[in-house]
Amino acid sequence: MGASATSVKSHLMSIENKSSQPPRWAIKFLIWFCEDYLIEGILGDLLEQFEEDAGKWGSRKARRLFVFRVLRLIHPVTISKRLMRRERSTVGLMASHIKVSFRSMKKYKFYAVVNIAGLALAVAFVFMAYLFIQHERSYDQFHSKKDQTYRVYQYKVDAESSELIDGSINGCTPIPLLETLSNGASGIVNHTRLGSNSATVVKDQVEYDETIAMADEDFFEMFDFPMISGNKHAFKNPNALFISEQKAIKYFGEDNPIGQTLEVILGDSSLYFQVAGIVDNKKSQTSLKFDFLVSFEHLENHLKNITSEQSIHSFKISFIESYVTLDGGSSEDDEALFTKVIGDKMDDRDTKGQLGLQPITSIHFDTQIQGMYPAAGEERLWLLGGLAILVLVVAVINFITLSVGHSTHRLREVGLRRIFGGGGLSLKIQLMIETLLISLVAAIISTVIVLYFVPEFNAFTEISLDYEFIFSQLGFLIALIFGVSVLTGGIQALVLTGFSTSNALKGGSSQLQKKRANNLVIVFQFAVAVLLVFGTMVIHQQMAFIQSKDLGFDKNELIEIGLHNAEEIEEARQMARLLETEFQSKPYVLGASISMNSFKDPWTILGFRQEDQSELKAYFNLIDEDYIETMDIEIVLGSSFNNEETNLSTDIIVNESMVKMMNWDDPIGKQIPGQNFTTRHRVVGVVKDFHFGSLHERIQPLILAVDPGSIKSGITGLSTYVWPPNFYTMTVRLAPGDLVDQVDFLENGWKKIHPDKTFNFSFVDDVLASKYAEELRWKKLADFSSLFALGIAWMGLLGLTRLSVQRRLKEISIRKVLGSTLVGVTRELSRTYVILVLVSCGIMGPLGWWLMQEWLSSFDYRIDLSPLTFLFASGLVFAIATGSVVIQGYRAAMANPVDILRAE
Amino acid sequence: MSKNQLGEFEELILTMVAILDSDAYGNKIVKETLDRLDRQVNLSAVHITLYRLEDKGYVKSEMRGATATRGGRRKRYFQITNSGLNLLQSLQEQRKKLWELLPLQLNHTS
Repeated sequence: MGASATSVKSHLMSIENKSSQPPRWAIKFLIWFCEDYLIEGILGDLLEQFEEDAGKWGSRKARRLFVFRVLRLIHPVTISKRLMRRERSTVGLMASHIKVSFRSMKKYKFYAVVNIAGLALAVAFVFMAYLFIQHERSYDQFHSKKDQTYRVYQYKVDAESSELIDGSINGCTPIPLLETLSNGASGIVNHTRLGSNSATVVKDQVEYDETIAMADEDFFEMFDFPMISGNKHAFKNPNALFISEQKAIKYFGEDNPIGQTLEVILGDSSLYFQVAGIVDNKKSQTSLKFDFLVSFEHLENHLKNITSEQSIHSFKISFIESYVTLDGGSSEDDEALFTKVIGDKMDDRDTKGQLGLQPITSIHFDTQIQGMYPAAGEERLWLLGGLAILVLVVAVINFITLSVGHSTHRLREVGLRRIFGGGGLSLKIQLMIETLLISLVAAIISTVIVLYFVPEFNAFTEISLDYEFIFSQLGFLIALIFGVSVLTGGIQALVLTGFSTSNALKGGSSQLQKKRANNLVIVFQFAVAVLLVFGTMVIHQQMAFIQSKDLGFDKNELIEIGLHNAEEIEEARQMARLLETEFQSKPYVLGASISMNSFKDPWTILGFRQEDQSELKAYFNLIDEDYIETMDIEIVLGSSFNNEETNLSTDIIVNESMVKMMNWDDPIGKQIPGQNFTTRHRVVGVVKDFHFGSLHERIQPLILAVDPGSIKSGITGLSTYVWPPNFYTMTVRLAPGDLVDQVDFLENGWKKIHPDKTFNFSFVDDVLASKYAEELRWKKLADFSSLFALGIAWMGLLGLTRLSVQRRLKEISIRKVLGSTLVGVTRELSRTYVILVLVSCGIMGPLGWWLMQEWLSSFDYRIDLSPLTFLFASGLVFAIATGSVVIQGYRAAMANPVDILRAE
Repeated sequence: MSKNQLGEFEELILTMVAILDSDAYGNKIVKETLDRLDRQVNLSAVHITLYRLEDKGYVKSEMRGATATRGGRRKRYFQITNSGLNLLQSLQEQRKKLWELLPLQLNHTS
C-alpha cells in the first residue's frame, strides 16, 4: 500500500462520528487503487454527495450509490501509477518473455518435447475420461419432467419377516398394473407402459427383422424425445407408428415417410401402420430404447393371439416396464400408497409383492433393478475417474520434477539475471510464462489428439461420445490446463528463485540433488507403470478366457430358427418333422432339433414346492430326442433320449450341477422331490454342465425333458420368457461351408412348408458374442487407457533418467578418465535403477495382486492369477526404463570427459 | 481523443467549468447540470472527465474550501484555461459554419 496507514486511518476516522456512514470497505478500496493526490478531493466530493443522498433517499440507498460511484471511478486516469509500477512486465516486455521462452525450449529440445508430450497425453486422456463420464451420467437427463418421472419396479418380501427376498427385485412389471394404480391412487399425472417384441417389417416385398416398441398415449407427454417431423399427438391414432431417424432412412431413404404405410408382421398377424412422425430416439442417451413405436394395444392383441386372453390381465407375469409421472410429493409416500393399492394381487403363498419407484435418471446405473435392458454399473465410472486422476497426478509430478530438475541448467541464467537487476518478480513471471507456454502447446496438441481420437475411440469401443464444443466442456479443458500450468509454474518459479544468487551461479546447490526425493518419484512412476501393464494383461487374459471358454457344446455353425406358434405340442412336432425332412435333403445339414428355449433369452426356471414349504428351483428346457446330439453335449452318465429303452413320457435328463445340488450319489432313477408330484418320472441320464446362461454365473441346475407331462404336476413356480411349454426354436447344425448358400437353402425349405410365415434365424455364436459385447467394449477401453497411461509414465521415466544421467555427467567423466569402461559406467548407472525397480515391484506386487483378485472375483469363471504375468509386467517396465538409462548413459559416456570437466 | 476534438460529455463538462467560473468542483457541476439542463450526470464520470481534461491542459485545478461535511477535506476546484477557452470557441465556430450550410427549409423550422 502506498497510502500510509495513518492516512487510511484518518480517512476512516473522520467518518466515524456520523450517524450513517458509507461502507468502510469501499473507502479502503478507493484509497488503495486511487492516485494519492486525488483522494482528498474525490473522497470529499463523494461524502458530500452521500450526505445529500442519505437525506433524500435514506442511508441504504445512499450506501449503494456510494459503492457504485467508487466502482465507476476505476479508470486509467485515477489508478495509482504506483500500482502499475509493480508490474515490471508491461505488454511490450511480454513479447520478449515469449521469445526467450521459445529459445529456451529450442535449446533444451528434449525436455520440451518430453514435457509437452507427457502433459498433452495426460490432458487428452483426462478430457476424454471426463467426456465419457459426463456422457454416461447424462442418460435421460433431457426430459423436462425427469424429477417427477419414475419407473415402477417390484420386489418380494417374506410374508412373515418382511425381509427382502434375494433376486426378487424386478424392473419389469405386470401389464394391468398401471391401470389398477391409476384407478386406485391419486398423484399420478401421466402413466405409460413400455413393451417390445420382435417383428418383421416388410418393405418392397423384402422382409427385415426388427424390434417394435409399444407404449401408451402419454409416452410423448412424459418423455421429451424431440420430434424431427410429424406430430406427437397423432399417437392417439391406434395405427400410428413413430420411427427413428436411422430406420426412416433405412426404409424410406430420401422420401418423406410421414403418412406412408408400413407393413409389420407381429407374430402371425400382418399389421398396417401409418408413419406419424420421425423421432430422435436419443439412442445413446436413454434407457428407453425404441426404433419403432406403436400403441400398446398391439402388444396386447399379439399376446392374446399367442397365449390367451388371461395373460394380459395377469399380475403374475412381468416382462414390460411401467412408468409414471407424479405430481410432486415424496416418492416414498407414493410407493407405500401404490403397494397398498395393489393389495394382494402380487402376493404368493408366503411372499408379499411390493412396489417401488425408481427415478428415470438412475435407471442407467442401477444394476440391481433390471428391466428389459441391462444397466451399466456405476463402479466402472469410478474406476475410470480414478484412473484419470492417477494419470493426471503422474503427469503433473513428472512435469514439475522435470521442469525443476532441468532448470538447474538455467540456474546460471537465473543468477546472472538477478545480478543485472531482473528482480524476483520479473523472473518469476518469466518462468511462469515459459510454463504457461509449454502448457499451451501441450493443450493445443492434446486438443488435436482428442479431436482425432474421439472418432477412433467411438469406433473402437462402440460408445458414441457426443463431442461438441460446448462451453462447459471447453471450460473444463481450459480450467484443467490453466490449473496445471499455474501449479507447476508456480512451484518451479518458487524453487528456482529460492536459491541465493551465489549458489545459482555455481550451477546448482546440492539441494536439488536430493536423491531421496527423486528416487521416490521414480519408484512411484515405476509402480504405476507396472500396475498398469499388469492390470491390462490380466483384463486381457480374463476376456480372452471368457470368449474362448469351452461352453460345453459346439457353438459353431449352429443356426437357431424361430418356429411359429402351434396350438399344440404335437402340431409343433409335426411341423418340425416336415422341416427336418426338407432340410436334411442336403448333406451339409448335419442335424436338426427343436427346443423350447433358445440362446437369445434366459431359460425357463421352474419351482417345485417341498414338504418344508421351501421351493426347489431348477432351469428347464423342453427338447426333442435329437437335441443333445445336435448340440454336441456330452453325456457323462446314463443315456440320452434316443435310446430304445427310453420312455419319453417319464424320462428326464439333468446336468451335473443338478446332481451336485441334490447330492445324488447315483442319479439314475432318481426323482425330483416335490410336494405336488402326482406322476412318476425318473432321471435317465446326466449331461456335462454346459453354459446356457451367462458366463458370469455358475452353471445352474438344469432339467431336460421331451414330454413336459413328466414333471408338470410338481411345478409350483415359474419364471420364463417363453410360455406355454411348446417348441419355439429349431436348431440346425451345418457343416462348414458357404454360409450364404446354406442359409438360402434353409430359407427355401422353410418357404415350402410355411409359405406365408417369415424365416427368422440367427447364428448361435453371433448371439453369444453380442452378449459379451459389453465386456469386449470394456476390454478395449482398458487397453486404450493403459496405452495412454503407459505413454505418460514412459515420458516421465525418460525425462527423469535423463536428468539423473546429466547430473552425474561429471562423475561419469571422472570414472572414464580413471579407466572405467563403457560397460562399467553403464552398469554403475543402472545399479540404482535395479534397486528402485525391485522396490517398486515389492510395493506394487501385493497391491496389484489384491486389486486384480477383487476384480476377478466378480466372474464365476475366471483365470488364475499367475505370478508370471506380474513378472512379465515388471520385466517390461524394467526393460523400458533400463533401456532409457542405458541409452542416456551411453551418450554421456561417449562424451569427451575433457569438455565436461573443463567447466569446473 | 485527438488534438482538437472533444467528446460530447467532455465538451459539456468543460463548458460547465467555464460557466461556473471559479466555483466548479465535482458536486457543483453535477447540480448545475441538473438545474440548467435537466440532465442527471454521474459524479464519478464527471470526476474522470475533469482529470482527463486536466491532463489535456484544458482546465487547471487547486485545492481549497474544506467543510465539516467532508470531514475537513478540501475541494478540488477547476478553472478553465486559455487553451480550453480557445477550444470551446473553435468548436462553436465549426458548428455554426456547418449549421449555416443546412438547406433553407430546415434552417427556418427550428
